[in-house]
Amino acid sequence: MALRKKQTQEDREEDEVASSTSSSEAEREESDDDDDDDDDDDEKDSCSEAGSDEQMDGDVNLSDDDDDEDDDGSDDVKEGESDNEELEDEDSPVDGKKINIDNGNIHNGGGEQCTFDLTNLLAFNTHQINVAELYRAGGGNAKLNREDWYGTSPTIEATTGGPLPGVVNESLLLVKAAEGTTQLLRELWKLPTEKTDVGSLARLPTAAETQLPRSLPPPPPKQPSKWEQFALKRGIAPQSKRSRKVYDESTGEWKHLTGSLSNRANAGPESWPIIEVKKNDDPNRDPWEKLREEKKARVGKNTVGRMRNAERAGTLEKGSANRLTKDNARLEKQRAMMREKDRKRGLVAPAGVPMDMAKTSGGEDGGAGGGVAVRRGKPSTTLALRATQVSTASLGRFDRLREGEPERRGQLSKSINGKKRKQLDADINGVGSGGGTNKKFLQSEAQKSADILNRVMNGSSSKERERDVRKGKFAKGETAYDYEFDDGLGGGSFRKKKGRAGAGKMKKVTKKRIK
Amino acid sequence: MRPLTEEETKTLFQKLAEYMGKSVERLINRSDERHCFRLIKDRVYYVSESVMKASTSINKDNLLHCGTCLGKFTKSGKFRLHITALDYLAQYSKYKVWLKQSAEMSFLYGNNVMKSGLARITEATPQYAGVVVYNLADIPLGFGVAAQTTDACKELAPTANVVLHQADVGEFLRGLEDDMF
Repeated sequence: MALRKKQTQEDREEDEVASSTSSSEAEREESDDDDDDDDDDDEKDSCSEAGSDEQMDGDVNLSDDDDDEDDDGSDDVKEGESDNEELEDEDSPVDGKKINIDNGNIHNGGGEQCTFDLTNLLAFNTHQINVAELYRAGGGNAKLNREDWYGTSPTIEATTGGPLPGVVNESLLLVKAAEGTTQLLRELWKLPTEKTDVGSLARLPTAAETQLPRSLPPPPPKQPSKWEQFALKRGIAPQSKRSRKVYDESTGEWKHLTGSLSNRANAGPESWPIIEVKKNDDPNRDPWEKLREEKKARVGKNTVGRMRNAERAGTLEKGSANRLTKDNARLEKQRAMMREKDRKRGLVAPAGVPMDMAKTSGGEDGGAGGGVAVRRGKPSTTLALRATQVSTASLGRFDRLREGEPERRGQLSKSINGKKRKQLDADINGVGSGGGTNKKFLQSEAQKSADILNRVMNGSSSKERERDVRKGKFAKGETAYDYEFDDGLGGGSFRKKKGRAGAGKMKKVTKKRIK
Repeated sequence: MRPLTEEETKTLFQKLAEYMGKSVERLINRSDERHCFRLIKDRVYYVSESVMKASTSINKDNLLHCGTCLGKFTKSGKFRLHITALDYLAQYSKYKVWLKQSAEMSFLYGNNVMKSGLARITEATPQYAGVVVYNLADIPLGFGVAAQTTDACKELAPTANVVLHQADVGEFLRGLEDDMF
């Protein structure tokens, strides 16, 4: 409210300034009546008139302000009256005594520096107001009640929430407004002027020129990555932007750089149906697999590098890149072990791949001269034979078996631990052709159960029993009151913190705890 | 409905053996009719052969139970005995515990049995052995796990747990598990 009042007061004051000066300022009157904010132009006097304006600033402003008080917010341009009488008249209603308005101070603009928004002709006095001075208790002429100033509007009463602590010291507000106005006018005078046919105009700053202050602090400067540091040091300019589409020579089209192999520009050997075997290459190695592995390695290297950059910048928790590499290394080791296992079993190559072209153990001359070929071995041979047995259109069902050929088994299937779950002769659910209801099956089932029971009762070998105890198949106290209670849901190894801190407090081992 | 795999059978027998010991074979080899174990959606049912054969003609989706439900396999592969198995457990139980009148109600509400409520206990009960709980009229009330050996029970304080509750007949009314029946 106070601000708006200031503004209107300032506007009114400008009006008053216009009116109080001589008639030659009739044009100024017109212009000043125009309160639109989107005027880029503001009309000013020529120098001589400006000078006279300033001279009159001190006294005239005051008197005009006093005039405004009388007006109660009316916008009519009023003839300025002589100063001193006005002053004295207006002082009395406020306090009952003469106000000591420091003319000199106001003339200088006051002690408190305002901030300005010249586009909207605003001066902001953001300094703290002395509340004691503002609400000078007691006093208050009947003439200058709140109702006079604010009118009888219910909303204002509601917002103020009851009676104010005393009457507002209007003179103080007047002084502040006057100071602000003076400062604003000073700033307006500082604006660049341009001469037009109407006179010299001051150019108010456009909305683009006025800068709003930052509401949040600026973001911290980004840490340069390893490459960026190097480039800076060496003076390598950053790469120019790539175009979205690139000309693909093989198809003669413009294609994207990324995408599926068929839609990519310059896709490379991974998309070729035939790849030549070069001198140093292993002919048994799948070249597309090799390319895929190489790409994975490159991608992994890139991710780890990015993670290291992020760690250095502080956006990523330190040590995560190392953790990732360790995990990957561990997984690689496991895979290598599995491959070793397979190799030891004799499965060097997939069962159907011929071994004749494998690397010979000795000859560098391609094995034609002297090197002994790597032998397939029995397990590999049997697997290969099994695979070939079912490699016909009818999956080997109508092929005659040769002498000494093992029974046809069926397609090679992946098995867990080398064991396949034994299917019943029919559907395992017992529905269909007998299955779980088969007499034979039932008899065998009874037999099997008895066997299992024997094993259970006669204490399976200590190793098995230990394993079962570890797995928790034997009863412990199975309630929550027992400290070793395991509800089978797992998740017991949750650690909130890393390392020794996560282990928690060491508890003293007592007799009770030992149980 | 399907028969149990070897692993599952082993787990089941281990659990049953805790309560019944060697008598488990009496479940398998019965004098009157051969019974078998079948699985319906993780629940183990002890059904007679004839009932089982008849139930194969019922649509899989519509078949809820057949025979006696002994318990169920949890998601992690462990086997939990349900109160519905009490009939067979009580018949062949190795270790028994008799409760006083005062402690009966407490046990039926799901509390553990305190030493003060213990009337009788079979000799040489090992710790954490499966135990069937009876009242003084020899009616089976439920089963549990012996918290202490028989000898250790004598030196216990009166408020110490003797039998840890696992299942009791009060559960039929309390309906603890939503999908129990």
